[in-house]
Amino acid sequence: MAEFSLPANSKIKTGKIHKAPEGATDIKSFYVYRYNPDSEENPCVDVFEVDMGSCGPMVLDALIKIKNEMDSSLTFRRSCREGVCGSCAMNVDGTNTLSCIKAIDEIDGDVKIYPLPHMEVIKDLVPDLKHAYAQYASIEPWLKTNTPAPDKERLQSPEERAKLDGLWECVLCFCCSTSCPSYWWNGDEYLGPAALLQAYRWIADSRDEQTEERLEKLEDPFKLYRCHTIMNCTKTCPKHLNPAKAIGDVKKLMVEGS
Amino acid sequence: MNLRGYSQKLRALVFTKGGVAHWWAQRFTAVLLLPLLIWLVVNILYLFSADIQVVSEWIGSPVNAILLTLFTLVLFHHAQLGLQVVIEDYIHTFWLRSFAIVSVKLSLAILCILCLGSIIKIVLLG
Repeated sequence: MAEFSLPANSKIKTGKIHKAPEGATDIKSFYVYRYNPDSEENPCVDVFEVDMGSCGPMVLDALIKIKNEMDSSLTFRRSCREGVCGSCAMNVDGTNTLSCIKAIDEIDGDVKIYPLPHMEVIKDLVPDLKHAYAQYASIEPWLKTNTPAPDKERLQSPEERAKLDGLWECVLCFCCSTSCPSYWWNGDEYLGPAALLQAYRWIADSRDEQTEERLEKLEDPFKLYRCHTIMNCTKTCPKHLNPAKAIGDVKKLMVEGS
Repeated sequence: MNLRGYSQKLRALVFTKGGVAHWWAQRFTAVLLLPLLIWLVVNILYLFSADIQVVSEWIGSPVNAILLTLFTLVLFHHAQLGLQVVIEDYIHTFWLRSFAIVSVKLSLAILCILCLGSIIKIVLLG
């Protein structure tokens, strides 16, 4: 059955308060979810008072500052710090986003930071994404052809190439999938908006010759049709893409092909 | 047939195999329901204070009887399609999910037959 409350060992407790250094004038409080698998304790929320006078503008800058200066055990993923790698996806101020492109001054009051929702937590802000990656692999995200490889590149007209705009920009941060209630309830079978947007990216590619097979693989009540156009995916996407529309386009192609 | 065979048969019976047919049927019945519902609500308002004789005559007329039959079939079909999706969304234990879907489908089928029987009875006997 659906679970409406957290299991006892997942209930979030109050954590430590890390005071700002003396002399700091512009202080902002960061409430950060902490979980350490090595301790037997429940997850908690630590408060870090950050001196904004010596902090960069983005939420990731604050996290790096906390890790460097206040608590080196704080664990999170990050790499490119400019919104192209998708590593630092987390729930900031109630919305899934990339912390490296989320400006702190966009957030009124305290900043609340949690890992991506409804995923198993490995440590602190690091969710376990192996199932999501396996689902991405299951849609076979590479060019599949039946004809022998030509001597030069497989060409596309500008119009055919334009069909991939809004799809290729996805950085696989899984902000969308982890914001989707259908993915929360049925994530084991439902592929989720991230994998489905990628599936459509290859279906829409004029050079791919296995469109039929791709559509056939998605023709399943759980893989695709758990999407009930809730639209959280599109609302939360930090790259301003529209996974809900991509899923709608897949459904449309299926109706036309059936 | 071994246990696995039975379980697969049950699966096929309970769950939609593809998805596109189910999805399409749900949309199609929704669109059909819209004009039928408006037609029914308008007529119910019109017949609200009428006595039973007038209502029986209204149901007994061929056009109304056909539209009512259509409405009943489409409504119950739409309802079972929609409830199946809700059950599949929220119930994850396989046997409980199967049991819930079969019970809902059976109950709705019985209700549908009762409604159709009533319409036929009024048409034939007045």
